[in-house]
Amino acid sequence: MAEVKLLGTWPSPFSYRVTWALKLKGIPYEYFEEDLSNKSPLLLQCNPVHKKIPVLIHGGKSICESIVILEYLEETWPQNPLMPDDPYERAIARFWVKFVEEKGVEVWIKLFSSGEEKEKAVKDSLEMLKTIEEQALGKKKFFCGDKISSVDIAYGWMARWLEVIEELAGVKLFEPQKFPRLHAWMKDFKDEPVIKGNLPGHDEMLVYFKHKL
Amino acid sequence: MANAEHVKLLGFWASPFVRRVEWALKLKGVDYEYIEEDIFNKSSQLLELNPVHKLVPVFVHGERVIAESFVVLEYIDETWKQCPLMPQDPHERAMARFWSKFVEEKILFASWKSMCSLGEEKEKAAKLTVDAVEKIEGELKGKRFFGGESIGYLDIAVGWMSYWLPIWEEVGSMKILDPLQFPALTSWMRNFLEHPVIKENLPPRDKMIIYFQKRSQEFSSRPRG
Repeated sequence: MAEVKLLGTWPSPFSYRVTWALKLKGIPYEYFEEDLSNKSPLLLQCNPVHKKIPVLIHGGKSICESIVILEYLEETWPQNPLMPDDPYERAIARFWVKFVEEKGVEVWIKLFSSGEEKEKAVKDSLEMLKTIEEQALGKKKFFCGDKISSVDIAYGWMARWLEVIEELAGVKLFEPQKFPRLHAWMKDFKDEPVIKGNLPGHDEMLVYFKHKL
Repeated sequence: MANAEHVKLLGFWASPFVRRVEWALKLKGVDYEYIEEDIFNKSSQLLELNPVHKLVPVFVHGERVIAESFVVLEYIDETWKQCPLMPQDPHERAMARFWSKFVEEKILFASWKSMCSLGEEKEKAAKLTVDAVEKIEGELKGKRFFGGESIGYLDIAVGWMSYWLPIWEEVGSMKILDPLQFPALTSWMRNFLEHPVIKENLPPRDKMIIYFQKRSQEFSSRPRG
C-alpha cells in the first residue's frame, strides 16, 4: 500500500485524533511536525483551502479536517474498526462527533473572556458536559460500547486539553462528583496503551498555551 | 426487512436543511410521511425526538431517530442502496465530506450573516462569502454536477445555494453569485434546479421572500451582546 504521511503539531488535539486512529488501526505512517508560524510548502500545497493541520497524505493525495480523515482511515483500512457496523449506530456516532465539533471549540474560546460572557461560557460548558455524560456516554464504558471508537477519539481532547483550559481560564468545570461517568471514561481512555503512550505532557501544554493567550 | 419500516420526517417548509433530506429520499424513491413543524412553537414530539438541539430535520425510521441533516444523508445512503449519493472511492468520499463542511461553515453562515446585517458588517460578511464561493467554483472542474454526470451527496449538501442564496441576495441586497465570476457554479445551479426531482421539491419563492425578510429584520434588530 502507498505510504502514509501525517502533518501535525504536538499541542493540537486535532492532530492527536489522527495519530490515535492510525496507531489503533496499526497503520504505518511518517509524521512531520509543522511550525505553524512558518508553514511548510507541503502543508500549503496539500491544504490550500484552510492551511491547517492535520493533513493526511496517502498515495500522493491529501485529506484535511480531522473528522474527515478519521472516516477516510476507517474506509481505507477496515481492520481494527473504529466505527460501528450498523448504519443506525454509525449515525448516532456521527451525531455525537458533530456535537463536540460544533459545541466544544466555541465554548472553550469563550471561557477566556470575562464578566458576563465568561459566566455564560461556564454555564454552557457545564450543560454541554451534562449532555455528554447523560446522553452521549450514558452507562457505556466507551461512547460506542466496550471498545474505543472514533467518538472517543473525537472527545479525546478532554483527556489532557480540558484540564489545561480549566487551569488557564481559572475555572473548575469537570468535577468527579458532578460527572462520575465521564471521569470513569477518561480514566479508561487514558489507560488504553495507544492513548497512554501518545499524550502531550501537562506542563509543556500549560507553558505553550499560556504563551499563546 | 429494515428498509420496509415506516419513515417519518419532521421538517419546516423554508428550511434548506430539511429540504436536503427530502431530495435524498425522493431521488431514491423512498416513501415517507412528512410532518410540518412550527419551529416558533415546537411540538412536544419534536422536543422529545431531538432533545439535544430541538431542531428540524428529525428523521425517523421505524424505531430509529436521527438528527443533523448530514448525518441523516449518510444514513439514508447506507440504508437504501439504489441511486447511490456518496462516491465509491474513499478519497472522493473524503472530498465530498470536506466540501460539504466547508460550504456549510464558510458560505451558508456567512451569507446568512450578510443578509441579516447592515453597513460594514454586511459588506465584510459578503466579501468572505464571495471568497469562499471562489473555492467551491474550482471544485466543479467542468462537471455537470459535483457528483459527475448525476446528482450526488455534495450536490444535495450544497443545493441550497441554487435557490436559497439568490433569495437571500434579494432580501439582503447583496451580490454574491456573479455569473461572470462564477460561470461553472451558474451552470451547475441551472442543471440542479432543472432536475425533475429537485424542480418538484422547492418551496414557493414568493413565500420565501416574505419569510426571510421577516427573519432578517428580527436578526438585525436584536441588541448586540
